[in-house]
Amino acid sequence: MCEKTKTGQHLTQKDIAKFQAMELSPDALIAFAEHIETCPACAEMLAQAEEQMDIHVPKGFAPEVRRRAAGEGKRDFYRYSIRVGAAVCASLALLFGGSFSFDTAKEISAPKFELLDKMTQSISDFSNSIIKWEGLFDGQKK
Amino acid sequence: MGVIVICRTEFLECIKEYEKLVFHICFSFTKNYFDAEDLAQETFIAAYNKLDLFDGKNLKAWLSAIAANKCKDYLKSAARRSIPTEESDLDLYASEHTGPEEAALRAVGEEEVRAICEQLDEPYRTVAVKYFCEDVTLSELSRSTGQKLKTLQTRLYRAKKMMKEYVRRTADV
Repeated sequence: MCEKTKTGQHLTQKDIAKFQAMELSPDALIAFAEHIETCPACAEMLAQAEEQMDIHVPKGFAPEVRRRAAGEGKRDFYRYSIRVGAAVCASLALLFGGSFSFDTAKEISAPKFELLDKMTQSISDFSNSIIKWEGLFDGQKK
Repeated sequence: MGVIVICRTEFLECIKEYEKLVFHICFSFTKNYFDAEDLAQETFIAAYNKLDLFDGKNLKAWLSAIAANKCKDYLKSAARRSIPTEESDLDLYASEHTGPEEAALRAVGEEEVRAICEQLDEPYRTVAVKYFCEDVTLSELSRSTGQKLKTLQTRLYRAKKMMKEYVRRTADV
């Protein structure tokens, strides 16, 4: 006879039957699970009841478990990460490759904003023109 | 009772012996065939990684305890209800299957599993039907179709996610 565990009463065959009939509430299922994981005797009773049940297990189930257990899933992820990282680095190198030079004697010249300045001035002049026209128009209205 | 000494290689070989047991325990807890399949896999992987902790007395009971632990975490986790899935995929069958069919769809019968798999769009339907219903491994499918194993694994993962979510939604209705 096994001793009671911290999680409460031991399971009975009736409890197992209810479990297999899916009649336990979510809270009852959690309590059931908590007991099973700490009571070897009840775990054995559950195992004996459950191994009588039939369920179709996909043929690929065991190979998939072996694959994951062998860490192939993690290795695949690392390989994928390396490929993505390499692609990102290559893209960055292509994008900015012209910006860098190993010629240390060459100074980095200041960017030329002349065109930008001209455009800014043109827009400013145009805005001022509009403001003048509006001022004239309002004056005429008055 | 004698002590069983088992190494990792031997453990991987005896998955077939205990897969039905573990799978059915997980199914009884989750009431979802596809969640059960994932949890059963996780049970074996956890057991494989913690084989050093096995006391050598009762492998069946030990596996059952690990399965119960995995299922307990599943039940407690609120995240199991928030797995994102494209709405367009769910809309394909959410409106078609309501009412008394729900109980049937949660059953473990092969016909019911096939019915769920066949609701998926391609390319997920083929890989789901082959894997769950026609006992074709992904390696065999890769060889016969010429598709990359990794591609098929990704499709199966996505198919399972959709079917898991579908079963959960029909259970909640």
